[in-house]
Amino acid sequence: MAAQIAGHLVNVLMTSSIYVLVALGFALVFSVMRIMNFAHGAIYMIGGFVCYNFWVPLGLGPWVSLALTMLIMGLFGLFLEKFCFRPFQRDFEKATVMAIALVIILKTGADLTVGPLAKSMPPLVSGSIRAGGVTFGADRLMVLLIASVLLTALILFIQKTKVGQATLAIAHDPDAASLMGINTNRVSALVCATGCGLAGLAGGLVGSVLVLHVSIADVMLVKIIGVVILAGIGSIGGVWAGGLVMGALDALCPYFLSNVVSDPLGLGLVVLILVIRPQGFFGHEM
Amino acid sequence: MKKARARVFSLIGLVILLFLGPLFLENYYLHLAVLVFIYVMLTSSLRAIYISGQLSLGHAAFMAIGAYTSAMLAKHLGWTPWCTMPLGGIAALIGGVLIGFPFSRLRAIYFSMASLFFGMMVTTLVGLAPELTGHYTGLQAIPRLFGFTKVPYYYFFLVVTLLTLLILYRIEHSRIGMTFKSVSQSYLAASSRGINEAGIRILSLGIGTFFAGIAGAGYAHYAGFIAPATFGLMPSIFLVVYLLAGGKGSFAGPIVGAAILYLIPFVMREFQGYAPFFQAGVLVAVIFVIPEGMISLPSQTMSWIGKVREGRRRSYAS
Amino acid sequence: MKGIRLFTILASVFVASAVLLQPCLAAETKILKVGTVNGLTGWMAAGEQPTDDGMKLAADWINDTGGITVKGVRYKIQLITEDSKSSPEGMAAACTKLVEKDKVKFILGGVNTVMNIAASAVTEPAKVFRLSNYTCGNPEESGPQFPLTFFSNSNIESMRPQLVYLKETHPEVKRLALSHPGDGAGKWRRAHLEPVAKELGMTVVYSEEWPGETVDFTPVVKKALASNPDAYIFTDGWAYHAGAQIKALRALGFKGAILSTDSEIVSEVLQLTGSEAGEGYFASAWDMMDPNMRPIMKKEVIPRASARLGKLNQWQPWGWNTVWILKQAIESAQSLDPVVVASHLRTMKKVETVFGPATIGGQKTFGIKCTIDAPQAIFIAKAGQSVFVRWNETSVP
Repeated sequence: MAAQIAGHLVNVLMTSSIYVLVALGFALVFSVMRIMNFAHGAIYMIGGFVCYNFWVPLGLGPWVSLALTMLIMGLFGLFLEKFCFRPFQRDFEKATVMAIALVIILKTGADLTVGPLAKSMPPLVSGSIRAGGVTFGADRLMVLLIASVLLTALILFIQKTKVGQATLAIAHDPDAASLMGINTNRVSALVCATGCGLAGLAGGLVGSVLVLHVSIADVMLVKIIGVVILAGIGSIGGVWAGGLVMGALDALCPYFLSNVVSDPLGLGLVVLILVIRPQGFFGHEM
Repeated sequence: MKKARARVFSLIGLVILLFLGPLFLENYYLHLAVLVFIYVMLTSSLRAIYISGQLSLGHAAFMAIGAYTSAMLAKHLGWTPWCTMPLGGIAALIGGVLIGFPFSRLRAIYFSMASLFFGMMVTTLVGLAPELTGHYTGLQAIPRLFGFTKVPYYYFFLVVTLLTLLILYRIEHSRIGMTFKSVSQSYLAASSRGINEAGIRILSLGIGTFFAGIAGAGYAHYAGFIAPATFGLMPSIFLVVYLLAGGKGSFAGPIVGAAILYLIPFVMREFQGYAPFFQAGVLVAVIFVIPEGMISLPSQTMSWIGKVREGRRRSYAS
Repeated sequence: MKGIRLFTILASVFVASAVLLQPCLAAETKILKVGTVNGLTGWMAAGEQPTDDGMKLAADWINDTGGITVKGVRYKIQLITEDSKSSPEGMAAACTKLVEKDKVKFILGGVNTVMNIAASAVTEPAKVFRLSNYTCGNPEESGPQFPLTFFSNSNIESMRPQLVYLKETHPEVKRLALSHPGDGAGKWRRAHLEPVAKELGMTVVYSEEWPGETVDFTPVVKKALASNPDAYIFTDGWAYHAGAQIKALRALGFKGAILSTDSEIVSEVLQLTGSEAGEGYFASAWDMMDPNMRPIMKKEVIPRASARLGKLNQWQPWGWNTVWILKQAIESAQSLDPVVVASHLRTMKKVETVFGPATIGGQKTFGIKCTIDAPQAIFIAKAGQSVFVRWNETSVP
């Protein structure tokens, strides 16, 4: 019994950690630039395929590929911030149209280059761990480990460094922050690069543990918007809670509930939160 | 005065031209025209909600409510589509008002997010009564309005769209319309004048969703087949894009936006997989070059020409 | 005088040659426009793009070898390619364009229940013959109400031979778990498979649809495994889903049999799972390069695909079949009237396909004969390779 629960717990944690990795980038960009990057799901998907290309056809192996993916997607994030987002900061509607245009371009580009085939990478580490009658795949635990390390590093970075503090300041009040002499453009660039890098990395991890396909972009986008709403629009620290809830829903509902119920459940929950407590668990009123 | 009269005349001319459509358009283009009419209705009804400050990212869901209500009544109970279509609109209206109660007191971005997720949730509800709704495989053999020739549908949708636009235009330019707009400006100012903000918002939402339901019901009885996949996330997002790119500030904006952007993939059929790039290109061009939307292209061009002339005149003078 | 004589000679020559050349003139080549609706973009493109390629290859082959002859007139096939965009409204739009603008009478293509229904909603009222690539066994997409719609593949045809092979190689298997994508057709797949399983002494202990956008199949697979099945069966033909589920199954330690009663191509699945996880998986499909394939594969399909496209893909033969079957139906009926062709195809005893001679079936399942049941082969994954086992004689009751 305990082993069963442990098995479920590992799944919940792994799913949540992927969601948090991707959702953080989205939340950061929103907090700092007040822009909803609808293309974030596509960035995650493309990161996955970029990683695949380094790993399998070019044979660079898991660690080099993941690192390169983070780097490349991070650079792409810099490009995005400068040319696509900076002109439209604070203009939600125009930024939305820009993000949609981006999604179209990225997804169509993926369709034409990657094509429709699904791709997968070999596990990061092979083998499994048996404990108490339940089998845990070692690669899933490794994904959980990598995600946890990165997230911890990020949290420490935000809390301990000047740049991190500046990010929080801008998230709280952008005008006051720039009055205090914070270079918002630089922070935005850093934030966007980090977000895209993390999303790309998450794509690579998912490609190894699961399977990559161009359709995962849309699915992930919906999930992370849900995570951000549950956390509270504008909150960065609360993303872990939102991710946990969303991960729990996705890892547990298909198992315990029938299709008919679990399909609308996650979506309905987000709607409910918005109605009852729009600022989510940790957000503040905007 | 002259400008207004010119505008009215050109509008009348356009309408006459539309009525003469079947004379020089063959079947396939009549079919495209019907779809454009439906999307114009949808985008304009989205705008009717937008003018009260609410940007709905789940509008396609109300098209779905109208479509499914009308289709199921007609198919399972045998009622005539002429009866069930208005009922579809009313069902969408009721849906809009019901969610208006919790949603319309939310701030702009929260409303958008709530409508986004609500929109996605609605299509999953087909699972609740799979025998009636056809589940994810869709509902087929829906009684059609006029059989299988295109011409009657063309006129039907032309008339319904024109009526819809007329009604929406009158509403927007009436006192109620002014109230909608004032509510969108400021949360405090309107209520300080004794206006029931949430109530006004719900009214605006209801109007928009009603016409979306009508459009959906019409679509169901035209195509004869509907499936949840047609009404999900991306269609709702695209409606918003049509509105914003067409020009959110003017009544004709959504009409232009819907017509042009919806037709691009059809016109660009030759380019197959590359067609979406044109759509994206148009969007990027709009937000960088014509921020007021495509509808403002003529006036922007005029003012740009005016500036160039002014610049030239100045440089000659000096 | 001389002028009249010259004139008479010339006139006689002219008339004589007109009379003598008549048969040659009659065999002038006309064009037969055939529309194709495959998902060139969207989630189905993985299988549909190469299917579309296969259709083009077959059209070239037919045109190179004499075209289609009807009542002494020779026709070259001209394919008009449309993209169904893997969505029902995209399919409806593509069919409408072909029917209204190009005025075709024959359409090829369609996979997946929703797409088939969307297509038939346009083609049947317009009395256009449609040969679809695949049916899920959902009576809503086929039946007496769709007299002009046929299917060159189905997921029913291989159910019996696959279960028979399962029983042969895994006699201990009694409990079956069925996995269906959430397209609403799950109950039909179960309805077709369960009676066959019962006959062979096996029971279906789990049969559920998973949500269409599932990326992580672990919870879904876990749920299936909670019913303690001996075998896990895929029924829908998409390698992407099968590969992901096999990975999850192995990660959860499942040791039972994994198979498909449909045609998830083994080599495609192995690419996703790797040789270790995929070991022992078998499906009812084909493998172009395998020496056990029919001669036409080696003689025509592979060379043409290599020459024209530079690459081979397992779905090209699928598309090839559809065009070839159409040609045979038209020539057998000696008519270009879709209604005549349809009713004639229904009565044919045998149709040639890339996989061998096929029969027309479906009377009991759909109430009308509408499926073309071609042989398929069992391929099993051994040591990372896709290995031929034997041919399956398929049939839809």
